[in-house]
Amino acid sequence: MSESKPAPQPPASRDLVAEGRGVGIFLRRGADELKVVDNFDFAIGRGEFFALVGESGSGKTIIARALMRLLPPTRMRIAGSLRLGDTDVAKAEEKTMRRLRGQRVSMIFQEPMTSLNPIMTVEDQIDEAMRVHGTASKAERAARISQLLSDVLFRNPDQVRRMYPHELSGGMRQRVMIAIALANDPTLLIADEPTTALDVTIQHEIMEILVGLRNRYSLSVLFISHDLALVHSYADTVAVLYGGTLMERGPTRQVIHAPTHPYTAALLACMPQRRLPGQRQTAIEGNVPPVTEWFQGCRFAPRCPRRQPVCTEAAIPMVATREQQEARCLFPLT
Amino acid sequence: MLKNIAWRLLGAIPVLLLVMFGVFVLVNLAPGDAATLLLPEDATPEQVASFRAAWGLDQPLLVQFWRFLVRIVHLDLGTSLRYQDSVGHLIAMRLPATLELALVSLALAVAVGVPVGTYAALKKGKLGDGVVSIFAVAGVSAPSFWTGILLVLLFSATLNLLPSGSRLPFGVSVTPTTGFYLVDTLIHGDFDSFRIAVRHIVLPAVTLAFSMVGIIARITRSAIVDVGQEEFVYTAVAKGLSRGQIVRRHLLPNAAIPISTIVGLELGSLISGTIIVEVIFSWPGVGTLLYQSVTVRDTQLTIGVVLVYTSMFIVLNVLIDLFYYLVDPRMRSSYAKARA
Amino acid sequence: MTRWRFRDPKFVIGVLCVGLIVVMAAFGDFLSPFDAQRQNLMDAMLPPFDVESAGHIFGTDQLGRDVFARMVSGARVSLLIAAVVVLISGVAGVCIGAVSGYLGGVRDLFIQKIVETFWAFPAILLAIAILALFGQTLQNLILALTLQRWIPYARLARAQTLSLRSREFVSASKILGGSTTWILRRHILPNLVASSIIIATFSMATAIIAEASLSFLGLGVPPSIPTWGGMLAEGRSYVTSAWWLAVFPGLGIFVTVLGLNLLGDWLRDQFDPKEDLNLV
Repeated sequence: MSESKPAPQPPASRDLVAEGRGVGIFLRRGADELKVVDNFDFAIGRGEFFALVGESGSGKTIIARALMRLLPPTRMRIAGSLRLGDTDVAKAEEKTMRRLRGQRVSMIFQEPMTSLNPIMTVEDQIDEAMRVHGTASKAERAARISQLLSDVLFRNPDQVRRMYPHELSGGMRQRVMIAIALANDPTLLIADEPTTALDVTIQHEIMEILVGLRNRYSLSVLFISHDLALVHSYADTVAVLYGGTLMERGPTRQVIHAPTHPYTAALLACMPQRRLPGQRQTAIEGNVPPVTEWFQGCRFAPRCPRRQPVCTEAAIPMVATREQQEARCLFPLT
Repeated sequence: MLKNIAWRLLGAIPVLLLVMFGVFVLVNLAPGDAATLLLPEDATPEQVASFRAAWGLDQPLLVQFWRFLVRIVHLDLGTSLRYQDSVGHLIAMRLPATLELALVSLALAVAVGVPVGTYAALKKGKLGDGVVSIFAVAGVSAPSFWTGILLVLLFSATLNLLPSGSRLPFGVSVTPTTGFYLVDTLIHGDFDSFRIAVRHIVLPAVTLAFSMVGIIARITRSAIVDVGQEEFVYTAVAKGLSRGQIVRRHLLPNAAIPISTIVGLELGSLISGTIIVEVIFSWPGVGTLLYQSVTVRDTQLTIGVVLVYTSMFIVLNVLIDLFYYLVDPRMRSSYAKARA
Repeated sequence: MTRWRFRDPKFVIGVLCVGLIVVMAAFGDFLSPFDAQRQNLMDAMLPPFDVESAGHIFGTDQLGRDVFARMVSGARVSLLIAAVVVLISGVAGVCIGAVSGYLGGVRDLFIQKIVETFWAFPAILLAIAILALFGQTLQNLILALTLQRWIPYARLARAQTLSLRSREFVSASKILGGSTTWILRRHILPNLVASSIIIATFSMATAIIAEASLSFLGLGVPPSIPTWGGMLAEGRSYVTSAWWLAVFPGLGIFVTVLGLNLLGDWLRDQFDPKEDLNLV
């Protein structure tokens, strides 16, 4: 059993684009409240491509929506410290949030087919994003629209701008979404599984665009996904989520090639690419615990091959397992 | 695009033909000869004979139908026995009155119904929604001939604020340019007459609007709720738009499509409604004409009015179709693709 | 099966309203000692709720007839006619629709054209035309009211039949035969019955208003029989002197139709509740 070192101190808040400390998120329905995210810590720096990976039901989408406060306080409660720059998302006024949305932080969604208004042209939808936040002239906005469309690799922006969403393919629509998201030069782009509904070839096209934008504009990206293989080539940092809690976090290559949390290892073992010829396709035994049945201690324990009785006794802290890498496990892999 | 408009208008013709055939069949199925039906009881044998010849009543049915159609195309809908005037002329004289009433009522119903329905959608599940819901059902359930009488009772008889009937009082006249008194009085700068015309149209228009407001509010609420669940609303929120902006720029324009569908479907009851409201308020439109024609058994006039009303209804439905075409870009593309 | 929400105000108020009218129609004779037709010019134009009105709770009309008794008679007429109309149109509609869907091809197309033709007429106009041409009898009134009412049922039944037919072609050969009746009973019929009942409820409401409108215009039931529409037409002339002659019959229509509409709404809610919006 290796000695656990205390978790490294997080970098200074001033440099961070987004940060969360001990974040808990509760979904509300009338008078009832349900905890869906528990004790979540993260930090995203300038120009950092941060991947948040988890299965469905792990709480990753909720975190994205919470960061922009897309759900009103009557539907969602945020505990702990969740910050966008120096704004506390949990406590900010709606007016403040509205100013941030579309300007400091933007978001693209999973379903490009339904995420655009069907009766507005591409041009109008990008234009709207600008008009909400700025006073640029019509000519300036028009020029910027052309530029944005080129940035997302449209070869004929003047034709595309006048089209309606139903005239575009899924990949094209997602690129328009990115253009809309970039309209006001945000510092953070949240991408909520933007490629899940697209073909594999288009998937990589979109990823290339995102990385290109990051390189050119120092844009930070919070990329939500269930696909470790996809984020492997593109993300700087990866955080693995299970049962509403962070399980492991660290530089992507490192985590994927040398995971220290049993869940991460199991997830990687399930990936078809990793299978050696002749080996059987593995799946993790058991099921994700439903939110209503959460308990103290490691939620993955029931399915973990390395579990010990102590794993489910009390809350488990994040411990550093390698350089820059930490896992929430009492018996991490080495 | 014009091609599409023409195409759709042409598509209405088969329906029109079928309707005319239907009416023709009805007239023939009715007891008695068409002659005994359409001529007065004291017609002389010569009149009957000449009528038969003119209508070709001893010819095969299809020939009769053909001649019937020819007459209609020449806008010859027969002669009214009571008024001793051509049916076509009588209807034309009174049509502006009916149209004015119908349009004002519809405008009123939409102007009240859409905002109210939107409010109910936004307050879904709360008290505001419930209250609107109650009023909506009440509006639909109260027959217009009752609400009209109640309004007259309140505003005319008791409070003496508004007139109880007709389009204009005795002694006031309007130079007819469009036939719409509200428009004509303004064109000629006759503001006194304008006020009088408004006072006379208020109660009938409100009565008619009242019967439609409920439905419009309901469909608006339903449409806004449906659109409100679409993914692109999240996109709009993520852009930093305020609630009001989202309602105005995203929800309402998209909701306009299903709302217009229902308004189109309601045109039928709008037409039925004008008949009754005109009768109650002695409004000199085609509705009272129909009523009178039935009361005195002026069958040629009745048939003429039924044909005109139905044709108008069919054409209106085509226009509603065209409206979608203009409003929904998806419709335009599917047409282009279908023809490609 | 969905859970029946009997506490919903729509259901409660709807049942109360319709119940009130039905009770009035059924037991009205016991509630009022007067005869609807009996004229008594000595007691003409008595106001309602008045001690001096000699027991006429709703007052009397210009011929001294008891308004309440006439209301009871009107309730009977309206409810009976509407019920008959809805029954005939419902049965006819379902049959025509099912046959049309089952036959398919040219015959189906032909029937659909007939549907389109009937549907093209604004409702009340067709009724007026029928009554004007064929005479004003009770049979013609019922005919006129059913002439368009069967169409929604027909459309529904046809759609169901068509989907059943496509299922037949899709399924493998060994599940044909006995399975057709199983599909019919398990999937098609319950859906059809539920939707038809909802249509029927609303249809009954519109039938009552239609019949009253026609009676108001003098085209409905022969004038000797008191109906709400007819009472309203008469009462209109006396609106300044005897408001109760027009207000009560209209109220009767309103309460009945309101109750039916609320019940129809409630039934519809049982099968299709809506979710929340995405707005912040």
